[in-house]
Amino acid sequence: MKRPTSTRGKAYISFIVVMIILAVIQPLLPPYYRFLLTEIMIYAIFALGYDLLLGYTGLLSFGHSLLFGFGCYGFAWMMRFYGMPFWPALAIAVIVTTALAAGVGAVCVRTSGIYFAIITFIFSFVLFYIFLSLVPITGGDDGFTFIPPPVDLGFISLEFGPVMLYYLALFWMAVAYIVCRRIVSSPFGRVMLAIRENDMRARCLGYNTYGCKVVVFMMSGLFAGLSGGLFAYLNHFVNAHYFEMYRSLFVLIWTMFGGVGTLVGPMLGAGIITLLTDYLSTLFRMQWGGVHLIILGIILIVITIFLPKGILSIPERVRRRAKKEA
Amino acid sequence: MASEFILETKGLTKAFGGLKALTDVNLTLRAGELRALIGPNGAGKSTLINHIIGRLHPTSGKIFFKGEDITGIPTYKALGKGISSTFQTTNVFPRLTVRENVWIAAQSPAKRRLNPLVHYKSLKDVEKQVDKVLKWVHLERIADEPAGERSHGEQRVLEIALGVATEPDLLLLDEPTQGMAAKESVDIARLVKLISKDRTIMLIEHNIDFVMQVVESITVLHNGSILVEGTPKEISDNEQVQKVYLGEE
Repeated sequence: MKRPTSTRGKAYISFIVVMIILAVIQPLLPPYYRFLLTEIMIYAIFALGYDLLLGYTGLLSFGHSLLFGFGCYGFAWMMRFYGMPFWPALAIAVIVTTALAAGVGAVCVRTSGIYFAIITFIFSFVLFYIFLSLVPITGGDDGFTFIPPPVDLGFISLEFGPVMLYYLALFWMAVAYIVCRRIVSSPFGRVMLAIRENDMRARCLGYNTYGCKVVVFMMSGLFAGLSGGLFAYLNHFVNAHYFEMYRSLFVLIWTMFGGVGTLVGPMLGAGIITLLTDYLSTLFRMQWGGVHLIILGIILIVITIFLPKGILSIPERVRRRAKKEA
Repeated sequence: MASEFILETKGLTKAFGGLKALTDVNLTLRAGELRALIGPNGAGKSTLINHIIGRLHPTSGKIFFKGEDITGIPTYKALGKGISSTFQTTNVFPRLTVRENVWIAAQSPAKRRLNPLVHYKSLKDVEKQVDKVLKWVHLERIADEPAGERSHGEQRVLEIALGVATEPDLLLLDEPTQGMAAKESVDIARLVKLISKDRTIMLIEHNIDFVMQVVESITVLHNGSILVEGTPKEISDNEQVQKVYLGEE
């Protein structure tokens, strides 16, 4: 009886420690890496929502750039057309993305497996081209920039700047993680696992699995919207390429690389893959463009074959091997 | 009292294209009864169960549960009405532990079963129910092991545990001894008898010895319609039944 509470306690302590470390090291970071880390923390929110869908409910989406991109535009439009302050714009970005996820989800989760992957992909593909061609509203290929408003905290108004962005991203990542952790350890989280393992059986046990899957899709939309809104704010720029296929692929890669169904894994995956991509691209930029993607691809293939449960499964593997030898 | 029967099918007919799987089945089940449904392969036993839990919808005819028309309700609603079922092929959540499996079933009738913000362990009633069920079916020993890694027999028991954990009024057991050794079947027989004390059970079974020692009444299904109903003694003495089982040719 005591054990689960203490492991849960331990997990919370390590979470708090990591958050404090991230908060404290900020002044030590070179500006470039501060920006990169900010970006990673925003990506981590996206990955968390994706893991709810893939890792806990077993739905493989190939079209999550759709939700991310929509979150970006939701925020940017509020800036461009209404000159809204930060908070209401972010709230609207989250709400419209969740609403879109409800609509798209209601259609997509009727299917499962490969059909689900394909239909989500088609949705994102179609939306990408719509956004590419609706130039007056979206800016298409070139996109548009906007003036980022300050973040008003009631007692103080923080001007847009790298340090503030860092803490803003850190704050939202922490909130997103706590909320996701709550969801997966809730009664609803049990039902998500049941659906992942055996949808038909869950239905026979009295759960409306279709409805539950739509709700999970909406949840992942909510986090994608939050992530997208923050990403648009960070860059104070959007273009139609935020919808592109590779974003859907990357969120899948982060999740697989870190460890599906662990929440921490996908966040870690977002960090490592982003840093690695960045490192390899600067390393090879001069000589051969694109080589870094090939190397990244090879690393990913190796990881997928030898560590299908992601890097978070390494300690477990080591422990098992030690046990075997002992 | 809407009806004296807990379950009643009226003229239930199902055609798959030209093939009639069920023809005008009128079956009644009294509350508290332990009934076996037997018949040769392809007689329509599983088809009948799948209609009761809403996985199949009849071509014509109606199904009443506690006097209420439940024809064609979605599968997930059948359980809310008080009908639970187990399956012929083992159908559990393989990568979850035995305890987690039972938990998911036990949580189903709970009030906050879909709450996304409380911890699942805060549902104390569910926790109690899980412990009770695990103890009852003697699976506490392996409660924390992944269900998919356990023996076939244990998974069959777990299958029944999932069926009872929701406290249904009517439990449909589809071949609980399927693929089991004789000795294990005895355990299942004991378990079924125990379960039947508080609820109505309809049992599909191939194993005639098993049926004879467990149930009070038997319905024989043949080619999609009811051939005969009666006590185990009447059934085993019935010539038609012998013909069906031993073959006419």
